Amino acid sequence: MSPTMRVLLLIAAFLMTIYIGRSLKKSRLQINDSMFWIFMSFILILFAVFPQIPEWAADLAGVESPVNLVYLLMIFLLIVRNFLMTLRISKLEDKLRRLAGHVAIVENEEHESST
Amino acid sequence: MNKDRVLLLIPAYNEAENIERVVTEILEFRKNLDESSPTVDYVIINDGSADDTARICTENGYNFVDLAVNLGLAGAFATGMEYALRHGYDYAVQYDGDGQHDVHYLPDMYKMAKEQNLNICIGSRFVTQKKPGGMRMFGSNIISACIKLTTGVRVKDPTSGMRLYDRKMIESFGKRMNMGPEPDTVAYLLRKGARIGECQVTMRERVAGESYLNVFSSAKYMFNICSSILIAQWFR
Repeated sequence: MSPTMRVLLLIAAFLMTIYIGRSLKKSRLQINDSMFWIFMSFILILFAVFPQIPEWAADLAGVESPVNLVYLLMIFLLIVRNFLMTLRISKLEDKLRRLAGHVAIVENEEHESST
Repeated sequence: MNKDRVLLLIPAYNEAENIERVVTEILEFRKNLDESSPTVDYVIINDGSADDTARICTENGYNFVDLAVNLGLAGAFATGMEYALRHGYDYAVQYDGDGQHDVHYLPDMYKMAKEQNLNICIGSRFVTQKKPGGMRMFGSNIISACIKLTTGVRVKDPTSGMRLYDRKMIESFGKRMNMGPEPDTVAYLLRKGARIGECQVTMRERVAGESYLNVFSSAKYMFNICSSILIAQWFR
């Protein structure tokens, strides 16, 4: 990996960590959700500081350039994350629907009983 | 002098088999309280149970809050804390709906919190009793070690689900995210200067029903709690 790439990785990871920290401090982020992002920036820092790791892994996987392996890993991680988020959104939407329905029914029953 | 008011908050998820026994015990206990004891009330938070929990509560005239959807233990607990805050309770106790906890230890916990001016009093199984070895306590030991490492305080029974919170804690629990009724919150509050003590209690084995924590989710639970204590807390 080129020195420029390593510096870019470091800066990105650093900014990400600061933003995660701020979000946690301001109670905008749940701890469980923060772990993925902390883990992610940790990996970026690891790769930037020890480029031997992606080089070794690229060699092992038969990928020509270590940078490509880093891209591949990122894309893969993000796809998995995206799928897990889709699952959560589905669940949330279903809950919201049931909640709204429940409130509406309770209000209707109150109307009924007051008339 | 006015008596303190203590609220037992009982999150209940599919506890139809247990809830009647648990509340009956509390009502019996309440009858025999003496003059020096605080006033004890309870509220059941039915966490969107799929079984007959809500019906049993209605038929027996129990005081309960019925959540329309399942929020999980943290959500049910937060609802209970808001209830305690709105009704102006001096102390709130996290209390299991499955009959593991024994309400008769409440006066001890209350007295200890009052005398030592504690923010949180944990109903602990291992203050005077020795911790049993083996796999069952393995997780508990790891969490203890994590808390010791980050706060310097030795909490002997961090996973105990029976905790008494004072007014100040009730207020802070309602306002913020990431304040689940779990050991990582205890660690966080310790770091923020909360006074925490442990009071010896004994707990019973679960009689019926299914717990929030089954065997398969234990590993995930351990990972979440430890990573929260060791990593995420530093940002807060």
